[in-house]
Amino acid sequence: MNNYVKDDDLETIRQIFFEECGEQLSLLEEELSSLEETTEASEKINTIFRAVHSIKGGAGAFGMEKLVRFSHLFEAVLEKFRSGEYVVNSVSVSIFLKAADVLTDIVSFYRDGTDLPVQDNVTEELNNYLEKVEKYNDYSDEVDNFCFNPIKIDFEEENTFYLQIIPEFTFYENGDDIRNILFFLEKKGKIVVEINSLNIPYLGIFEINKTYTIWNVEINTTCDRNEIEEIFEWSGNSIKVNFLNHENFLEEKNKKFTFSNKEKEEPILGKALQNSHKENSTIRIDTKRVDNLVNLLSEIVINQGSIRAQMKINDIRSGSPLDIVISDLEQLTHELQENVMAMRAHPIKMVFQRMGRIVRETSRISNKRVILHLEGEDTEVDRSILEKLSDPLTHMVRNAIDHGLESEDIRTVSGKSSEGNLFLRAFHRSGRIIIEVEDDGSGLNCDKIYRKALSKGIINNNSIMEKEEIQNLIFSPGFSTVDNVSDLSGRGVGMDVVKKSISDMGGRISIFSKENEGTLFSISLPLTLSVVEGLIFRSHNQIFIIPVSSVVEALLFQKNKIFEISEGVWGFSYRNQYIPIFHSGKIINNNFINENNNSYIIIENEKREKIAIIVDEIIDQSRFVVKSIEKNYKKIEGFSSATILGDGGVALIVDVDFLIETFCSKNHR
Amino acid sequence: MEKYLIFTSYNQEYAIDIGVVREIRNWTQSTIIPSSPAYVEGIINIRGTVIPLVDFCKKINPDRVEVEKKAMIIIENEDKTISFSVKNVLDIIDYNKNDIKNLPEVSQCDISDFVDGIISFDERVIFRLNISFLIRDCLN
Repeated sequence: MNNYVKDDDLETIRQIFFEECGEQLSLLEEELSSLEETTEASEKINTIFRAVHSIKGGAGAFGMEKLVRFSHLFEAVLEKFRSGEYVVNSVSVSIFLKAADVLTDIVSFYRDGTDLPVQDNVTEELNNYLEKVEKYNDYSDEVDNFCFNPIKIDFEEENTFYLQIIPEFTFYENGDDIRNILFFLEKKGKIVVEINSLNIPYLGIFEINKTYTIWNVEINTTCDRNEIEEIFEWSGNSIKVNFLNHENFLEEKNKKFTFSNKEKEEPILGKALQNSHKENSTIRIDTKRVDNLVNLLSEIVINQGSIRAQMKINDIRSGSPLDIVISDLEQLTHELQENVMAMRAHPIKMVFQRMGRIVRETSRISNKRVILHLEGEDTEVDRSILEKLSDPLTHMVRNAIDHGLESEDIRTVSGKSSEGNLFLRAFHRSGRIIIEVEDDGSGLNCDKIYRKALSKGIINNNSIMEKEEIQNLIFSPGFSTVDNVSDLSGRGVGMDVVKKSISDMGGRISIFSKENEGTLFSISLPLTLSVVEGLIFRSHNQIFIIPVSSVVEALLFQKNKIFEISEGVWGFSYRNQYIPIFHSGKIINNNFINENNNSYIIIENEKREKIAIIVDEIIDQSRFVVKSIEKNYKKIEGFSSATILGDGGVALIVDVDFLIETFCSKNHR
Repeated sequence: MEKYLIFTSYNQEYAIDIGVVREIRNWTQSTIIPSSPAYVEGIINIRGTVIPLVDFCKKINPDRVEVEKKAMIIIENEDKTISFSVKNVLDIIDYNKNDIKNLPEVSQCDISDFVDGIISFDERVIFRLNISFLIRDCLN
């Protein structure tokens, strides 16, 4: 627990604040990453400014001094850009990005009590922008500003102001209302309000994201102009107020409809579209609630299985009214399940965006120019996977730039473009999510890897290995190809950790590399961690599930296709190739003796290595809710998880990768 | 006063703190899991959760075989849910913690790892189980 907790309520509010901080920070990052390319820099700077500002506001309320100090500095610099004093360029963007990182660090410092890294250089870089005008070091003002300042009131004088109030769309977007303004104005004195609705066009060209009304207010007050302006200050830039003299005011009032739509139409439309894009309304739900929903739903799926099983026992034929009703119910449940799953799904953009920053950072430190290409950012991924994806991807991206891509000179010599290309792709393939990290660098150097592995004692002198096996050595613990550990990738986290975290998610990672052409890492992940499409088979009087995604084919048993290779080792002739075969009973009991050979199932892994397994009987194909075994027991070799069958019994789900690794003699070490 | 659930295994009586007992069920066939210790009968489904079923008799004494298993006691302790198959569940008793006697110190005693005291109740000798130890040992 950290020291800042005073009581539960405060802690709840703090939690909400941190959640909002997280949102603001990701918004910040999103805007920053596209800041350089955009033509509407000022718009984006505004968004960024607002995000930083609201973080500062909350931080002030919670007395998080470090956060206030830094966000204020950041804000002050942004203000300079907002006012047009500076123009956004790549240097400033990278400084902003670093500043955003520091903000993230400070927020997590307050939230989790993590270490606070030194940010002096960032502070300095930010200060550089301010230096020319004023060296910024006084922040205490800002905190104090929240207190109340008494204002002298002069009863003698009475002024009449003529105001023209033009609210921008953002004014309403922020949940503000013109009535509030008028209410406050009314408190200051006697007001006469007139609405100028002449600008409202006919419906055909009416845009919902545009404001057309102008308010003309005549106010008779004892207050001075500053006090009137103060009312509008709260709404900031979202409202425009003109103080007019009497003649102009009358002129404005009598203006006729002069809406010149022709020239304005185009840019406004573009803007409107952009705005509406962001306005997906969302609600915040505790992930636990969604998880509960998922669990309950899986119970329903299991129960439906039970109903089906009962129907079979009671000999209710398909096509009977009961069967039809149950089918409908199943259809609905299926849909419901997909919808609930979609609730947990997020576009992979969330992670990819972070990678953009990593690329910038890494390319700066390693002095390599890198162009990042993103594909399939909208691919949706289950939240549970998304959260675990960030770390391994970060590492792989760093690796690709640091180790994969060559320096500029070498690239030029070998006839490549001087900038390195890094591709991040995400897409769906046969019920799995594939994420690819590809660089067009030098590719994996097998000799170097082999020698390195030898010197590290990962392999011994007389290992004869194929190219692919050598490439896979980089996943061995304690392996690093760069001779001197660099600032970037050599952080004690190796590819073995990447592989482990991927396989923990039920995923697989494979390498495709060609010397001088580049390296492609392909990660294949299950769509969700909670449902699997599987083939049910019986072996050794027990029922097992094998994920359909790894099944190539199921065939009837034919004795003449099997031949003995050596004692107890068998081969199988499958479509012009010979693949290993074994009886599934061996998964349970190694001394198993074949009896009821009924079918084969051909399975393959991501590397397209195939094996055949003999089963007693293939029963059905269905969707299964994945249940963890480790949660209450421990990991069982050969099985990735379990599921609950229609009769309430438990069936184990076969871990195909493990089987192939164990029974494929080539990989067996 | 504390409440204890009394059950029999083989020909002995054991007591567990009622606080960790989630439910008691009739014994059912479980799904065998390969390469697991002999005392693990398999895994079962308890309202949507997959939990291991441990043969209590075998766990305490690997050489003994329970002829008749009638009940499963489902226990929830330290984030783990686990079930034990036992011969029968007898009753729930109130017993004062201070009246619990120590187990006599005998060498080569299998149960001393999991039993931390003796409850003498109605002239019966009931072994009180240290459930945390037992569960941890089953899961290793």
